[in-house]
Amino acid sequence: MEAGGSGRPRLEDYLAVTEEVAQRRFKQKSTRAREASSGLATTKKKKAKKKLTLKKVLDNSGFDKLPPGKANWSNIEVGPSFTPKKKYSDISGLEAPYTDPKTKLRYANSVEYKQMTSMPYELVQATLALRGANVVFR
Amino acid sequence: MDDHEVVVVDNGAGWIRAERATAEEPQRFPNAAAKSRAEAFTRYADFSQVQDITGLALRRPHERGYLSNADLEREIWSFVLRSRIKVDPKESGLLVTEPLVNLRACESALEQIVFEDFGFRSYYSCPAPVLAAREHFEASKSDASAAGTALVVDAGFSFTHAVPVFDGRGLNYGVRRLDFGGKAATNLLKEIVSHRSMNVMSEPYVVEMMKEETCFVSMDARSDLLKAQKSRGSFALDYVLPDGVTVLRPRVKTKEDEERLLEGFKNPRHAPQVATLNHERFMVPEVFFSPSDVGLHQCGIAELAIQACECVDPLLRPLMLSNVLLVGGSSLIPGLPERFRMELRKVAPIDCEVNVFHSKEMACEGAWRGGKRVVNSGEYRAKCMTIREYQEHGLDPTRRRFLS
Repeated sequence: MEAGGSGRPRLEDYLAVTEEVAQRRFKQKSTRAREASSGLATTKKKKAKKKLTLKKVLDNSGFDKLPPGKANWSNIEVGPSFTPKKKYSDISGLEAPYTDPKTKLRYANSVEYKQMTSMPYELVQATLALRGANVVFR
Repeated sequence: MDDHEVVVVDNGAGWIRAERATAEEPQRFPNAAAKSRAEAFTRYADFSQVQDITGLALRRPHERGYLSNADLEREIWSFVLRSRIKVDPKESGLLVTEPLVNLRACESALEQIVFEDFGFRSYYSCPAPVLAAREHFEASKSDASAAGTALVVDAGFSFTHAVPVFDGRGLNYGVRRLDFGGKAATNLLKEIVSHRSMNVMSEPYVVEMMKEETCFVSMDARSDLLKAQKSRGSFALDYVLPDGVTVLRPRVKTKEDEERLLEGFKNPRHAPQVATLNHERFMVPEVFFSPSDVGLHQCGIAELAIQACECVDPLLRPLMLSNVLLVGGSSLIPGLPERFRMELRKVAPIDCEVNVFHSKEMACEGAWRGGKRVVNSGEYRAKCMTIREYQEHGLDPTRRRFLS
């Protein structure tokens, strides 16, 4: 940018364009302008070139290669909440203040507890698996 | 650099607010194109003249918050600049808002449209929350504003961002994003209404109007749910949907609609289409406070603000919490600012003073007014990119000196 100038283009500015600057400008012209000056006409190419899909842009942006401190599309996502989660019973779905220490199932009242003591092992594990809390032995 | 006027465009994924920098208020348009079923031509950005808005499928240039379809954006801007604002791009400059942490490909696509297709004289881009913060600093007189420090929670169309601002600049490493916004709320309301009353899955435009008219945020969702369960009439609202012939725009049911509904039992063709809304009126905006309701493993907007605060220097945190600015279209949902204040006070450290600033003008137009301030203060002239620079150096990211 001209420092302190009035901004009107001067003859010297035009004449100062060197070969490399001209080449660079030619390369950076839009496809339409370049083809117009060279006499070809390919309008279909221009549309395909400008249309981006976000997926392609994100895949090509290489955000996992950027330094970890720098903000990018994926690391500004907010994390999960820190508020204590409410516990719901595995049997009825009511709010469950109690947890069985042996099987780690949650229950809301004594009626559910009675049912729970008679549950076979497989059923207990299947119920816990619904919550993602079952132990898998490999 | 010669003096030319500047057009300030707050280019959101949902709505554009644009006007010359010399004007008082921006004009507001949806940032979309659509073709009505009854018409043969595509409309850009202005659907107020459409007769039949049923099935109006909007095509947006923004995808998930980032500009992906630059061609469509060019068409929309063409309409807005030439027919509504009536400005000649070749004689003016442009100040645009861009998404936070913008992708390089989207930046260059926008620069290409601005300089090659429109031929603007100069260009400056900045994230919208930072502009809103600048506008707020002028208006408020607190210590934090004097230091140029604020925490902006922008409840927008695609996302909700929390942006820490220090010294008038957004701190990119502190930005936090919640993947729920106005668009997701509209989609959720669409699904719920389609399950309960009428199938509106193909009508995002109508459901957005419905959401704006009927949704609110309750201070205590659990007790309101119990209240809605006990007596059906507490929150029930009948909403008349348009049919393109007799009912052109959707609205809350009126007495005339009630009479026509009764007549319609005899002649179903003349009956107005009515959807009944009950507790979804407050459960849809409730997702802003607990996104796990829809399966998002993210926290609500109160904790979003705290998590953004925790990324900055501990000395700045009390300053930022005393100057929280709530902007964005989704912040206009009735009751959201009060609920946000309550929730934020619950999770903020006890020794910090928490002040949340929100007003209707700031929510919609804050970023635009901030852009106007940038133009009037001379910062635009100092830091914009001129078309000559673009022609000489091309798409070079190191030449972008905005906000540096």
